[in-house]
Parts: sequence; C-alpha cells; structure tokens
Amino acid sequence: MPKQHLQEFDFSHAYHELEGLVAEFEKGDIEINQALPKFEHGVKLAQELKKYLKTVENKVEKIIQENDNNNGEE
Amino acid sequence: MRIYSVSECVREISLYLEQLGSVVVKGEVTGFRRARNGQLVYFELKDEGSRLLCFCLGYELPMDLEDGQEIHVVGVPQLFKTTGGFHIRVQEVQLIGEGALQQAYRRLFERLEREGLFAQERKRSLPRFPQRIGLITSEDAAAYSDFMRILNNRWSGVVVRFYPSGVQGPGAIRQIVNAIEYMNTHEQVDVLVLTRGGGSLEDLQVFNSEEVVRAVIASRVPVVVGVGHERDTTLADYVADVRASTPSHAAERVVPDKSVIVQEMSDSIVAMRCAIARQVTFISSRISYQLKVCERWMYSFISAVSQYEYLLIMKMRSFARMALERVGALDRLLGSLSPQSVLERGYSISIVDGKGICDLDASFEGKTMVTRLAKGTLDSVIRHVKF
Repeated sequence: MPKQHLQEFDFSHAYHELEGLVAEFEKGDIEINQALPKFEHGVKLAQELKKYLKTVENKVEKIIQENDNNNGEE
Repeated sequence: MRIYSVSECVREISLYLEQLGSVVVKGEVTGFRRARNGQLVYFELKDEGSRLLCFCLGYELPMDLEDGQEIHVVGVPQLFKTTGGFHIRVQEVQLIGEGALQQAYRRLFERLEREGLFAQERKRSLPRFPQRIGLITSEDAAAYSDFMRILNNRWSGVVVRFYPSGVQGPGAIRQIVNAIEYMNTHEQVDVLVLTRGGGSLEDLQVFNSEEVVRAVIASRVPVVVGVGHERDTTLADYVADVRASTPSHAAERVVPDKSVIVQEMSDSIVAMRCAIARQVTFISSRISYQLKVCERWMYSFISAVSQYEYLLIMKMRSFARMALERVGALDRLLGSLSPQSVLERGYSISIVDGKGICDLDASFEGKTMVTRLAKGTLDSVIRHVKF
C-alpha cells in the first residue's frame, strides 16, 4: 500500500468552507458585527484557492506492475 | 539415457512448457462444454491440420462459445498432471470477425440489461474536486496524452496514479481487470478513469468483454469510461458510473474547469460584499424608520403642546375679557356710588375742620365751613347752629 498522500492545502475542504460562508451571507444569517471577520476569512480562502490553482501542478505517478506481483512505483 | 518415471516425465515436460509462457492461438471452436456443474470448461481449437484441447475454470470464461466460431485464445501450454494430456490453459478468449462480435455484444448487452446493470440508480456521482485519479490506459496511445492535456489545461493539484495497460489485443482484458482490481485494493483514488481511443468493433472488444464489464461494476471507486470517438459505445461505457465520449471528454468529466472556479472565487467575494452592503442598507433603513417614528412622536407631542398653548391663550383671553367687562360694570357701579356723582346731581358736602360733617355740633359756630359742590367749593362762616 503506498503511503497516504498528504496535501498541505485541502482544496475541497476550503472550497466548501467558502461556499458555506457565501451561503450564510446570502441568507443574511450573519450578525453585522461578525460579518467583517467572516468576510475577511472568506476573501483569504478565495485567494488561497486561486493561488493554489495557479501555482500547483498535476503530478503523474506511474504504477509499474511486473507479473502482477510487483507494486513498485516510479 | 535417463529413465523417467511417468510423474517425473510429465513434470519435466511441464517445466519445459512453462518456459514458453503465454501464447496466442487462432483457430475454430469445436466441442465447447462445461463440466462438473459448470466449474470446468473444455473446448477444442482446430484448423485444417490440427486440434488443440483448451481448458479453463468456469468463472474465467463467462461467455459460452459456439462450434465454428473463430477465436484467439491467449493461454499457457500445459500438461494435465494426472493424465498427462496436453492442452492450452486458457487465460483469455477473443472473438474474431464482425458478425461473431456483434452477436456476442448483443447477447451480453441483453443479459446485462436483464440484470439491471445499466440502471441509472446504480450510477455513483463523482467527487467535485478529486485529489487522486486512477488512470488506466495504454501509455503510448493518443488517449493518454489527450487525457493528460485536457486535465492539465483544466485543473491543478491532482495526483494521477497511472496504471499502463494494453487496451486491445491478447492479454488486454486481463491487464485491465488487474488494473481495476489493483486500483481498488492498493490505491486510494477518488475516481478511476478507463479510457482509450476509437476503433473497430474488434479493437474495442476488450471493452465489450464480460470480464472488463464485471470489473467496472465491481469497482468500489466510481469509474469513468471514455472509449473511442463519439459514436463508439461499448458495454463498459453502459455500466460505468459516468460515460465519456472520448479520452478528452473523460478529463472534462473528472475535473472542473479552473477558470470557472477562479471566477466563482471572485463571484464569492462580490456576493459577500453585496450581502454586507444589503445588510448595512437594511440596518440603516431600520434606523431611519426608528428615527422617523421618534420624530413623529415628537411632532405629535409638540403639536399637542401647541394646541394646549393655544387653548390656554384663548381661555386666558376670554377670561380677561370677562374680567374686563366685570371691572367695567363695577367701575360703573362705583361711579354711580361716588360722591362726585352725587355732587353732580346737586348735592354738596360740608366740611368743617377738614372733615365731612353729617351731624350738627354746637362747636361749629363761628368756624369756617367748606361746601364742596360738583364744580368748586364755597367757603362760608357758620353763624348759628340750630338743632
């Protein structure tokens, strides 16, 4: 079994967090005194997500199988 | 010369045959049968000059073959241990010829449909942002480069676990089935992509084989199958969780478009700003409303006070008027009672020693008496007092 892949930035998690924040804003559920910190957090998330998409590349890892017994990786 | 026992001889020849490895044999099927309740499969492969016994386990060859069918058998030449009979241990069977392939396709299609394996309810949805993608395709084919090109154009940050596999010809079915099983057991991928370019029915028969179809169905990871050009639809496509029409389309189905997501991010900020602006407007309008309510209350209060003031002034005026009238009347009454008015009527007041007199007094004699008339006074000397 290959080692668990770890990514410092969980795109999906950050995206859903932002999605949740926007939904809260649109429903008007946020107290005005909480709105500013939440907005700032949302802007930060959006920037991180954009930066991630701009800077990170896809990675291909070839699985080499020999006689269906070798699980080695390149 | 060495003398072998029968067992030794069979074993030696078996060892020798093993070195040959897999072979592909083309021939015509004859005498297909399933023995021991379908657990064992036997048939012969023949051509004009020879016949070869072929053998495999029942589950390894789900489809029944018919006499006269042209096939490719992929297998290992072996001897049966007990009888020493030579045979091909079948690993894979491939049909040859458009007619046979179409017939096999139709039969399997109907069977899978009866089993409900094409049902929409079976299809699983794909994660929107996969982190790890299992890719099964041929390394050298355009399918691989098409898939990777579109994937890289659209999205960033995924790890593609690429399992190179044949996608047609002998051995491809086994490789694909192994790849799917491997991805399910040894890898932690969010989605599996099985793809290849277009081709003839014969080229695509791997994707129409029951083994590959069943492996796709059995996968616990959602599978995207993208085979061929638009028009090619294989049975693997039908059972896939998501069907893509080409390798490029498979990449489009697997990852979102970066530019759309980046736009979404910008839209999110705008949406939050608008929401805050809306809330500020709402709160301001509530404050204005409350101010207006206060103002209205103040105005009504002020107008009530003004009204009272007016009423008070009016009352004061009428009171003053009445008081004035009353004072006039009293004045008039007082006027009528004044000594002057009595004098006007012809009476006079007599004053002796500075005092008005009402009674006589003997001592008045010889004194000066002032008689006050309406106009002026008379001074006279009292000569005589008569009682």
